[in-house]
Amino acid sequence: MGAFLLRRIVNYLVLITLATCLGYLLAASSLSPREYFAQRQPPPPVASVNATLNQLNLNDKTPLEDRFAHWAKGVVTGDLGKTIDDTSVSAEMGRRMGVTLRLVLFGTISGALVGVALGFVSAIRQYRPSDHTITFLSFLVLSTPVFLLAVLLKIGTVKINQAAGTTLLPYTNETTAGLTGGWFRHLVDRGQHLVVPTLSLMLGQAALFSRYQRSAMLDVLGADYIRTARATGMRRGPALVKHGLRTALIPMATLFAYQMGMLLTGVTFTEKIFGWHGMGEWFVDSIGRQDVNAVAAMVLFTAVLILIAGLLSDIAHALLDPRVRD
Amino acid sequence: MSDDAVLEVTDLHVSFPGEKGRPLAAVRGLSYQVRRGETLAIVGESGSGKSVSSMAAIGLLPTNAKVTGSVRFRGRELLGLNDKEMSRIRGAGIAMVFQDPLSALTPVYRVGEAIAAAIRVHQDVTSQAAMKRAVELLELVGIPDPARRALAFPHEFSGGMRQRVMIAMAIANDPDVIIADEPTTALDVTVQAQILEVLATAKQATGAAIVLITHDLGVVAGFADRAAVMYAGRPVETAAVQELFAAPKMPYTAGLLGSLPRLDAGRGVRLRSIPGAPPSLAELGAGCPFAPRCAFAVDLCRTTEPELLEIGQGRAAACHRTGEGLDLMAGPNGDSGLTDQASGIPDTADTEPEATSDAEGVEGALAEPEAPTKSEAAAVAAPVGVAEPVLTVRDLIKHHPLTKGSIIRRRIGTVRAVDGVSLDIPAGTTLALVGESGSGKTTTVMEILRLRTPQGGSISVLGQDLEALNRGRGVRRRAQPVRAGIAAVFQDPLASLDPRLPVGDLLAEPLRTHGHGKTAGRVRELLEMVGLEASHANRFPREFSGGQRQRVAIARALALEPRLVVLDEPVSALDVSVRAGILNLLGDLQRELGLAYLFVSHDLAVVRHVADRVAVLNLGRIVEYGDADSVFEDPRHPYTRALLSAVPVPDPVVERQRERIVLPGDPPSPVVLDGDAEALRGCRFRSRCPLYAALEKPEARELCESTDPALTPVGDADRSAACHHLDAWVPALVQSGTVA
Repeated sequence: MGAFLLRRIVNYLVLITLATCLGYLLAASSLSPREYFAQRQPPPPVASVNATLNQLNLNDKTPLEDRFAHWAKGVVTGDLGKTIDDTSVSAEMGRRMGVTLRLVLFGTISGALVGVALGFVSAIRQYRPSDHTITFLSFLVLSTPVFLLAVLLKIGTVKINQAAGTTLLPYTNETTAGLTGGWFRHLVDRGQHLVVPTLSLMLGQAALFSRYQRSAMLDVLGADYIRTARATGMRRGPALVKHGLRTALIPMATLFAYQMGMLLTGVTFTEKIFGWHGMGEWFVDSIGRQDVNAVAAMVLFTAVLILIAGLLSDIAHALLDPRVRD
Repeated sequence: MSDDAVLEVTDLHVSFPGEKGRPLAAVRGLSYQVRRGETLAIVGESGSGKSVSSMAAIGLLPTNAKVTGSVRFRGRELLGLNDKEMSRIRGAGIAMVFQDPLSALTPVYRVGEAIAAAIRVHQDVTSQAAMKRAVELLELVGIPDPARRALAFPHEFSGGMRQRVMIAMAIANDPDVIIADEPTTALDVTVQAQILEVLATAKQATGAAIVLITHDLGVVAGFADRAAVMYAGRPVETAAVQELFAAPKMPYTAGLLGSLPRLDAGRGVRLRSIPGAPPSLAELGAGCPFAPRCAFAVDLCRTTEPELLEIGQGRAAACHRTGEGLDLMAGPNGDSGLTDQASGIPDTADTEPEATSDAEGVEGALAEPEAPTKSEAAAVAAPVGVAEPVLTVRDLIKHHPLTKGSIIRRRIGTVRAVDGVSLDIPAGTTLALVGESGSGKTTTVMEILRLRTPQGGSISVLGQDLEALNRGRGVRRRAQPVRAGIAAVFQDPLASLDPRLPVGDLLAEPLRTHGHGKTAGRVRELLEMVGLEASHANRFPREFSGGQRQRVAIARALALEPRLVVLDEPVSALDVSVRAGILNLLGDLQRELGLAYLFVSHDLAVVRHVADRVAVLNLGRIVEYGDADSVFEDPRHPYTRALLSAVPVPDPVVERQRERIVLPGDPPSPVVLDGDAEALRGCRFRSRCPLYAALEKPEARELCESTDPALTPVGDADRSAACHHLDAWVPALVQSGTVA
């Protein structure tokens, strides 16, 4: 058992290493940190640019192999290098990970729950008006670009706030700057800030999950075991939930794990629009700043997340489905 | 209504919305009643309305079904009750046992939970009390170690064990009526015998009436008190079972009985097939729906549908000619003009009206067995016994690794699917492989069809050793003629024919693959050979009935003039009335073309009908091998005896008198876990062997425990069996009526 677990972990490590190295090499050969400095006004002297680049291990005059070796040595010891503004990549990433996690966690979980419920209703009322309505709305949301959805939500929020006469739902940043008060006051403030961005994530997630759940549910609707449950005297509703939905949830576990993994690597638009300084915002900004080390760290982060999602999805699948458990 | 009838169905009609707004009538006027402790069988083929009528009785049809008539349960009208009221009756008053218990149990709940849930739907008890009762019920239906097995999931049970769980669920609330819908259809014969006994136990324990829905007349003969035969949504004959089998009064019933291959009949007897196929409900005309297939039909039959009329005490039949005293079992008078079998093969005439694309080609309308025809005579002259073998298999072995775990996969044992099988098939003869599921039948066949070097042992096809064939260069080119010489027909013709190709292309494909240029003529010839029309070449597989599709599959197999045809359960998926036509066709083709057949089937009655020689497989080994007549008439290995004894005979008199050996337990699994040396020691059948259990001398038992019996010759040269105690005298091996 231990040996097999070890083999799987080794397998993962190889994949992560490969992805990260390729990510670094791509970033290091295509981004140009020198330009970032050279474009400053007034242009700094070349010597000082070189000195800074050397210090950050970003000098394009140094052979790529040497830069890579230097970077790799750091990574092995847990040091992901410096950002182009000479701060620690690891520290920055640690801070931003928390921001994205707070943003994504509620959005995906509530989105999945709402989506599963909508998909269930849609399936058991197939081709009825409620199914058509849910289908129409979910496609509407799915085909609306995230930034448009977010902007629409902002407009709606403004209306609500105006109607309420106070900033009931703030929609920029994570907290109100300069807030004073106890921890409870801070918690409520964070909660208020969370509502609108979470809603923008939730809508997309719910739309997506409702489509998958609907088709998974339709697959089991005609299943013999639901007929069996009904034949023992169970009413339609309980039979559909206890026997139908319970079984149709199994494929959702995989979807949820991967969605969560994907979103954690950065909900770029949402973060940008609502002023949350998370991973997605960082990734885009890093590319703009020609920040090789930050981009490489982002690739590492993504690789780790995807593989964890895979592992979690297997575990969730095994928990939900006794047939694959042993 | 009679006072003690618990379920009374009167003039039940069920229809579904069809295409173009025309309703499809699935059930048209069914009436029956059952009393407590009585078993009523509803017999019919697919589309006869037998299952729909039972779903209508418990109100579980889709909401678009229109149900009229009356269903009274203990005097209370059920039609028109709402879901809440119906739910109180379902499970508690009327319980169901469904076919295919794998899909009928929710995969994510433990079987104990499932039974406990069924109890708690109707009874206000704690979950502990319900679980305790569930364990008792599992014990009642014969699940060994019920307290532990109650915690297992459905997928950890075998088919037979799952069906026992279904029965336990059905009797959990002490119902008055149990409706069993094809309860043994997906099961092995040995398991079928067990399940029927469990059902009998359940009936005893609850005193319930049983409505047994089935297509298997053998099951009816042994189990039911009365029977209603349904055809095209209507009951066409009702009678006490004894009378029904002794003297059927409706030509359809007679045809069904005549078309059954029987274990107690000899080999090669021509089956009396019913021409055509059961009608599609959308195409019912004004006349008797059976008229197009009926050898006794007169003009009246084609214009007016007969009523189901009482013709005696508890007997009714729907036939215009009931009163005329026709001998239905003997076949029609010579002048009825519908017999077309005089020419042997091919089954040429296809008299189906163009409108009914569903109808089957004429397959010999209730034809009597004919005197040997030209082709038969030719076959008799052919030297069968001395022919060179077209297939020789020696000590074939196929083992798979068994792995476990989804997150972490590891090897825990070996599936010994085929574990030393040796066979010979001389040209022009039929060898049947029989055995329960998991015995290695299909694996053996697949190893032969792959034409690859076997994992162990040797296979020689058409004199070409596969090991030699796969050595060296140009294997594909050299394998081509061997590939052409061996063909296969599988169980489900719809699944094995590409739905996007018209039949003509399907038949031309093997010809083109093997570089034959002009195919049109050969395609026509093939279609005619299997009793279809040349014009059928433009149709798609879905436009044919099941029997016709299987004919297409046979034609495709014959395209390259093979010498060996592997038939893997070729009639198992077909309706009873259509099977006989396919079996007759296969017999005719064999005589005409000198084909050798490797016939795989779990249906021993079918094997009895077709096989020259038979090999009985158990756990990947042959336990008995030899001439079919001799094996069937005098089985020597205890496993063969048990298998044969488990097959129900479609004759209530015989069926109720004969001694039966019920094998305990499930068909064993061919899995041997790593490090389990004990599993490989001694005779592998001994855990279920009634003979071993009856042996008295310790040294005799010791022999079974220590030594694996080899296949040794028995009696005449052509027979062999693998048992240490072939000569042991054992009276009744196991009492009939013991539930394992």
